[in-house]
Amino acid sequence: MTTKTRTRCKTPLKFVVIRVPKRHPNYLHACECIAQSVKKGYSVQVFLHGPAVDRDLMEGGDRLSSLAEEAGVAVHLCQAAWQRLHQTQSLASDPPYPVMSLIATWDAIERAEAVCIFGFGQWPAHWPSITVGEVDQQTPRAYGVMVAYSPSAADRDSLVEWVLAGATLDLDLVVAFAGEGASEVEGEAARRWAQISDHGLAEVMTDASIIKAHSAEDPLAKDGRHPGLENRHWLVM
Amino acid sequence: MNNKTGSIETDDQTFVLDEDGHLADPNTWTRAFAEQLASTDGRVLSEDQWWLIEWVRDYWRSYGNAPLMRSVVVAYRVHKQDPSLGSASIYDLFTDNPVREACRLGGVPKPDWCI
Repeated sequence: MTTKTRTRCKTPLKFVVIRVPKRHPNYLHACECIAQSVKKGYSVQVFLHGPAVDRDLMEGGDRLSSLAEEAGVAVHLCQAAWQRLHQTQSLASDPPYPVMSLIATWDAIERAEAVCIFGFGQWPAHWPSITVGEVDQQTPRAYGVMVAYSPSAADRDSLVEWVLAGATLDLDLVVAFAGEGASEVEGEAARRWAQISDHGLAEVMTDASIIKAHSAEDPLAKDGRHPGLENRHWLVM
Repeated sequence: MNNKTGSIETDDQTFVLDEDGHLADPNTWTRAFAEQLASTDGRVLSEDQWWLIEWVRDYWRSYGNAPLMRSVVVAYRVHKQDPSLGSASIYDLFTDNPVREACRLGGVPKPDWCI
């Protein structure tokens, strides 16, 4: 068994993942969060993933590009998403930001003091409430990936890639499907995700499993806590 | 055979390759394609190399993407009935990026998400 040690940099790193396109309100929220984090003294690294990597990004001239140019915010694009965009849209130009692999992204998340995700989903209201967005300094960290919305087929591919990249690094990983995200474990959509449980790449949680864990018969429910949820850093996609 | 310019020819078929050198239409894959592609590299595929190619291909057909190395290792241990095997044993099959090479020979698109 290996133990990872995490060294603190003088300037704490905040890692921000943006999963929504520029026209989505959460994109502006992400930019505001980034600006505030810079003011608080964080070194901010931004990763644009999945649906965030679209043709609109090529236009530039938005708040994120200003933050990159004027505030020293490091912005990267998902390498796989860029490759697909580049091929399907026959883009002749270079990417507007440097590309980064998902493996390198997970590695950066491991090193970050704080991680924020700006995506389509929210923590499901019918699940036990936990603090989302803070990173504790436990070593090694455990992660949860929450899918609580119904993604498009292309977005589903990017979510599966996200989890597979984490599994490549042998991270302690749970993937949770809740609310509208529960449709991901049914029908054709489930085919892409089945490898996660078929090959033991991550633990899978669903509405059904969390309800069972919190039922009166379950000892975990006695104090209203669920260690499987609370001891993880949750990335709400 | 003409894989440098985008195709592989067998006795009775021409296979078009994509810009990554992988089979453009995975549904047209045949064992003859893999044999011919391997022969252009001066190789005759061993039984275990065939196992890897077909396992990777089956995985891709089941899930829509290439497998992780850790999944391949687990499956190879079962296949060889040897729990001591590790990733080195997979690299013994193809020394340079074995999963990617199995994808190329198995007519599976280049995995664009990994590493």
